[in-house]
Amino acid sequence: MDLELSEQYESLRMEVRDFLQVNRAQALAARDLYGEGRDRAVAWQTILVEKGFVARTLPKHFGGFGAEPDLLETMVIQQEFARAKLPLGLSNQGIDMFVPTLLVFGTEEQQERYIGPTIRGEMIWCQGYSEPGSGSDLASLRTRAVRQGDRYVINGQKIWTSTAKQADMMFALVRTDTAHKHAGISYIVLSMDTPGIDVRPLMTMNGEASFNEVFFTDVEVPCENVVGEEGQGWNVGTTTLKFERGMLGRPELSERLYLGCVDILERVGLKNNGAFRDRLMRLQARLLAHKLHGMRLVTDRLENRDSGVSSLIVKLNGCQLNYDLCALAIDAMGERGVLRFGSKHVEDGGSWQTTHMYSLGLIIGGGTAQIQKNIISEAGLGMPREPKPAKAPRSA
Amino acid sequence: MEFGPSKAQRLLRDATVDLLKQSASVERVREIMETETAVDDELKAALADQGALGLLVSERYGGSGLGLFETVLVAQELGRNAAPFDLTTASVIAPLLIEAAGDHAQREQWLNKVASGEEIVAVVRGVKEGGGRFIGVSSYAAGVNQATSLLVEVGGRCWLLPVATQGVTVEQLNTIDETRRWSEVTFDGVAVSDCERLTNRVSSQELSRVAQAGQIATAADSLGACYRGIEVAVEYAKGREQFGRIIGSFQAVKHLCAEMIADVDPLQSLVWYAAYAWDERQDDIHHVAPLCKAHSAEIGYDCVTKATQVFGGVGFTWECDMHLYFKRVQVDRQLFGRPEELREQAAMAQSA
Ligand SMILES: Cc1cc2nc3c(=O)[nH]c(=O)nc-3n(C[C@H](O)[C@H](O)[C@H](O)COP(=O)(O)OP(=O)(O)OC[C@H]3O[C@@H](n4cnc5c(N)ncnc54)[C@H](O)[C@@H]3O)c2cc1C
Repeated sequence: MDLELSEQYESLRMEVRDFLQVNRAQALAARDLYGEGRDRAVAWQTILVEKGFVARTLPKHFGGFGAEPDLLETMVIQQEFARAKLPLGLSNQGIDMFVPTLLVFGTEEQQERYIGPTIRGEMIWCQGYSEPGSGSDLASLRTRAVRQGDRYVINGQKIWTSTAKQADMMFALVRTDTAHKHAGISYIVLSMDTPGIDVRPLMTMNGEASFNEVFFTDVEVPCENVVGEEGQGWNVGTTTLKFERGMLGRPELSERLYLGCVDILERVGLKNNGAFRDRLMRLQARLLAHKLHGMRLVTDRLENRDSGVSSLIVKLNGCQLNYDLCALAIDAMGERGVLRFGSKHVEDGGSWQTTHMYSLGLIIGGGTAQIQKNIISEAGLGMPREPKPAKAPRSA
Repeated sequence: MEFGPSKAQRLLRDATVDLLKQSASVERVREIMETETAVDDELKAALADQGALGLLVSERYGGSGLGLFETVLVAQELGRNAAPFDLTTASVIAPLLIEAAGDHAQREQWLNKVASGEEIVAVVRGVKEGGGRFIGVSSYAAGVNQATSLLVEVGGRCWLLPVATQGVTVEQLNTIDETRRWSEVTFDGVAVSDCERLTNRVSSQELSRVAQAGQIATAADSLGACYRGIEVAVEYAKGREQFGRIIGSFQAVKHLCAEMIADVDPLQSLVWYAAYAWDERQDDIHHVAPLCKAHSAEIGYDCVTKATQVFGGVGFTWECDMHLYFKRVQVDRQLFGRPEELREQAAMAQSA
């Protein structure tokens, strides 16, 4: 065990720390990528990329900073942003899920076209996976892409598509072959401006229209937009899911929520209440274990060791932890805890309720907790798969 | 940076795994459990040979001068095997107290023997000193069954005496965990002057540092027992059939197993970190140690409760090994403070 970092990392640490101190106001103002603040958010993100705090190891010709991959540098940068209680630039489906997937499976041309604008926040992506009939059983998806010459013609429907209204682009799983379940799926990218796409907002339980239904009617997409080979989409798509689960289980949000809980307990005068403090300390133990677990995974990667089951538990743990943290803050506020934004007396603009419900959404999204447990037990512990159900007997 | 055991530390752990495969197979553990005092001299000798008893003893006193991190790697393997040896008492608490309280000559004399296994020391608290005599009862003394000597600690003052001293009566208690016994030790007029008084008074800060080491080692013991519990439960679930199916294909069973590993695996990182923070005297150790112990108690309890259920009726039998790990965790839970107290301690340390 050795948690010492050499001089080089400590000087990077000081560089980040100083930078954040000087630029704190701009960082705080850079919110709301999806609304009026878009320009400010993009400007701040662009600075972070130029400084090499974001997209640090992406090659320069893709718009990145071009540093040699060094997980410890990344870790130090993350730690300093967390210490300053600032988010490390933008986090969304394009930056955290699509870009790393494209680095594995994309052609040079696709990488050059999409990565730069995506990491700067200029190009917003949405994820077209789920369909009305295909959620957990994603591979049963039916949105059809039929090849006609040098293009595909897409018909079908996606659902629960987050930020589809704001997105410029979508990465989607579509069916290019109906004879094979998994091998009939392809991964394709398309512009949300393409004729034949109809986005209809769905109201979430938070009362916001943050996800949507997306209908496709004869949508034409060039064949070169397939990522990986035709029929390889399951492999590409599940790689994206792996990145998604890593993103959803990140401890940074949990840490911010924890600090928020401490603050709430103080504000409502329950800091010294034994029962509440006990609950807080239980959560702190989980948070600490979750964070340290992340460092253990970094070490595994540094040493090219397969983390096995250890890497599969992160989404399940992180999302449940966020939910439980919000619940503590809400309980501590009592009646005030259930006031929603806009109400008289509401604390923190009602964000605890919003985040609480959103955290529940993310226990479901990205693969439900139950599906995570299937994966952990099957892929992680080697337990047998659910047997295929026998065909229902035909009535005579 | 390397989060987790280094190569050398992994070698030490692997050697312990091999040693325990030989010396603490479950058959052997059960055999020892059946004996009067559950002491396994062969196991003790094997651990001593490997240097496992002197990991926290500095080299000048015959130990290996390593740290709590290494000790915890061994403790975890002992817990995994439900091995009949109380390492926390013999190789953590006792040497740390002797180190803190002894002068050079006393350390020289005692720590060498502690590291070699020639002396196994148990710690006795709750006894009073008055009128030149020790008097009183130490009710839940751990590791006395395996000990040759007792270390009596009264308000930071420490004395050593052989277990077989006139006026000392040891009565074994029966906890549910038959692999590590507790005793009630009664002092009836033992002359203080007949005991070896260690020169220095141990400060309350040092005493809590010793307790923190005990908390972390105990958490590691539970962690090991939990990993083993998960292992045997998963193994069983892959073999047993009901309704014409392997029960491990039922989601109700699979999800229990997934929950266990999802809870237990991050505890590994917390235990490693706590041991490291103790060795390096990091500022956060005062809250991390009790928090780690409390977390291991909660996670451990849940884990063995679920793991036992995976076995169905077999899980309730003496024959099934699961109860060994269940009991190990149950007893660990009560050591060095109950979870609620420990979280309180952690909160206080953090706000201080
Ligand atoms: C906040 C949020 C954002 C989302 N964003 C997107 C997005 O941007 N793009 C996108 O494509 N999708 C998105 N989704 C959709 C999400 O991926 C699906 O909701 C999720 O995969 C579950 O699918 P489903 O809704 O069809 O539920 P179902 O699959 O019908 O599941 C219903 C219940 O059955 C259980 N279940 C199903 N199958 C099994 C099984 N094999 N074993 C055990 N239990 C099972 C589930 O756990 C769940 O409890 C989002 C969802 C949420 C909540």
